[in-house]
Amino acid sequence: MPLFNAGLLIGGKYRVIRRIGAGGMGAVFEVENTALGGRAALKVLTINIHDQPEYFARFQNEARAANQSGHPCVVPVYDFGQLDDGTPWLVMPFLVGETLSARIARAKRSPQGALGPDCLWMIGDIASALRATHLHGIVHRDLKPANVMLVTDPSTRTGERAMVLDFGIAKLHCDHVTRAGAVLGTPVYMALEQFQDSATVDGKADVYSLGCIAYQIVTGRLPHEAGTAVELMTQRMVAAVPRPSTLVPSVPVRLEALVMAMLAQEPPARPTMAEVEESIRQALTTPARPLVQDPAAPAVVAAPVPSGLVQPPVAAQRPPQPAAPPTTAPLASPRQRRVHVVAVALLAGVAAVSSFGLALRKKPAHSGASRPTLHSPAPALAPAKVELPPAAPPKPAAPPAVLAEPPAALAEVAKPAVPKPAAAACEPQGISEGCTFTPQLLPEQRAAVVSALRHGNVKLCGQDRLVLSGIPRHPRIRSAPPYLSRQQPVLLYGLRALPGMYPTQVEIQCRRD
Amino acid sequence: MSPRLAGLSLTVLVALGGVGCQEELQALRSQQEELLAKLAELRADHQQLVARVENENRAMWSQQLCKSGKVSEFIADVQAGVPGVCTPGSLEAALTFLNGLPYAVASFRPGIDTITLPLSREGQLRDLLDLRNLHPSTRLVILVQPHVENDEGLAEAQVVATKYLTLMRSLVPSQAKLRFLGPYLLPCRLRSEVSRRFQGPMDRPVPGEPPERAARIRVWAFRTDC
Repeated sequence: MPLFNAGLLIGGKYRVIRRIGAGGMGAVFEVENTALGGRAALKVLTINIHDQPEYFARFQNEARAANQSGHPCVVPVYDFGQLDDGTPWLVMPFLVGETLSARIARAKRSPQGALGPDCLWMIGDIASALRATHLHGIVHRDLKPANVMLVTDPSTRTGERAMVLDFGIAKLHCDHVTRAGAVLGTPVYMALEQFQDSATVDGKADVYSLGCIAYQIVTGRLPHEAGTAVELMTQRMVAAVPRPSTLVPSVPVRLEALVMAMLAQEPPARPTMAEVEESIRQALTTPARPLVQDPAAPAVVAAPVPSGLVQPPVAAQRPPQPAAPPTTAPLASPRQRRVHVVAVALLAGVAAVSSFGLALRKKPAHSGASRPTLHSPAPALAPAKVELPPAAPPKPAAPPAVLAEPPAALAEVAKPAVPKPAAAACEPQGISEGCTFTPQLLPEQRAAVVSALRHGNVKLCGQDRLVLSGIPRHPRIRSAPPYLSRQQPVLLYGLRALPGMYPTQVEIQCRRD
Repeated sequence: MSPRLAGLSLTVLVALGGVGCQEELQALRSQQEELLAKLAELRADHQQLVARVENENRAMWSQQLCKSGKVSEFIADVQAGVPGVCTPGSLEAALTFLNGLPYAVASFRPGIDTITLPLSREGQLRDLLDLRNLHPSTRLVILVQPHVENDEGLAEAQVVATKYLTLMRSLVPSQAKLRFLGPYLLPCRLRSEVSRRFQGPMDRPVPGEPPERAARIRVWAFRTDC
């Protein structure tokens, strides 16, 4: 391992200027690109990769994972290489800004004690970035404020953009690096299932971590606070997450519902990253019914589709604050709880005897304080053979969504529920303005929706309901009778062309007495 | 001192002062010219630097987002071709991989003066031009297929595609700096090839468009970061 003194040339074109940060496994340097000019950040692994080859694979993983999404909120990796002695390095853009952890720490010292719901755009940016990586089969697995950079971006409404970095322990579809039973990640932001086996987690683990960040942004505190990883895991299993409104009474009910849904203990109960992004986006772009200001509106995520067209406003009211007991995210079933307890016992044992067990270590990051990262290969649980991924160049990303089909994200959400259009028991008829619509819809909006439905040749039976959402930016068929396919590109693109802002959900029913 | 002598002295002094000012003025003028020349140099350098940074920025985005060498080659071919007429060879080859790119399509009846887009076509175009998918490297390639391959047909296709391009520009978010390539004419003989490659639901006529077997001018807009 050479000394990375100022002036050292790496990869033939990156001249070291100074060291930005260092951790137990690596270091980050500011470098100058001598070929093109300009600054960049160069990250190197400083551990001996010959002794621990899985770290090299993870490092390579980071380069691959960051580039597969191509999302503007994911910090890309421009270059990757190895020194003569095999030490790997990668090059990223030199970001000027601060980490979200630094921002949160600053806010904690302020009189408010937290960033508050105004900073919801950060969650929107992170959700958008991770939705893109999830579409490419990449789960971050170590999402935490220290891995989010807030950089200046004059093109955004807030003048800043949140960028996700450090995909070092990301899980790709073809990940052979993570041993079964291995625990990777930062405990305080980790979902319960990630404590059990990092190799099998999916995007819902990132949703949980993002839920923790959102909770921290809103309240200034973490959902669970504990001294050790085992204690934290026990809390995850048995302790209720205090509702944010019990800590900050002004938290809007819809925001609270979203955060609590993200922190649900069972992964299926959590929204997908696309749904989180959609909820945040709607909250930020719909001034009439914002997530952050409308205490009477129903929850966007995890709320069942209202059964009636007219929702009784009382049903959606937040119960009086002082009387509201601190309820919890859903807890595990008894059988699952038993499994968790066994897992806790095993982990605790491993923690006690294994030198690897629950090692809390800092990882190299751009800057800012980083919470300790739990890295426990847990050999006693699963002494599986470590397989390294082939040293092939990064796999090209999946081709972008072809627009002859409905927007990719919408299609993806709609897919699981796409039934084969069944024959209707009645004779469906075309939509007219005489049908019943969501009452919040303005007359001109109603006419525009009717026009789009007619354009899409949508027909409904008298007793059936059609529920649409995301008009006009991300239209989606939320609920439709079985004879009506949810993949109606002509309708969805028609709704995409409608001007103005619409209610979060639009319901249509055409009773013909 | 007599008044006459005093007047003479004053005249001499003014004259001498005038000579001094002239020299100073001349020096200032030459200094100004030098500064203006330096300013022009700096402006030119600045423009070059801005252009270089923009190019590098585009190249970096393109490097990250362009996953197809074939598309890159095609774009290079298109740029090298005669404006308005793309080589049939490269267009034919392009069809084998262009349908992997995001695109919007529309069909128009021949002989129309103004073009209007059906609702779903406008939505498709709005989706294509969503700000979140537009990067410094993004370009839109416009291809048009005439309804008949004679001079009039080719000219009309070119006019329709230009109108489509104008309509498209009006939908581009103001923050985006988009670059357009085309419109390029697609030969009619590729019609069956086009039909074979583009079979999605949005490739079929939507309400308000001429049916499949009718004479129609088809315009495609492909979005690429190559």
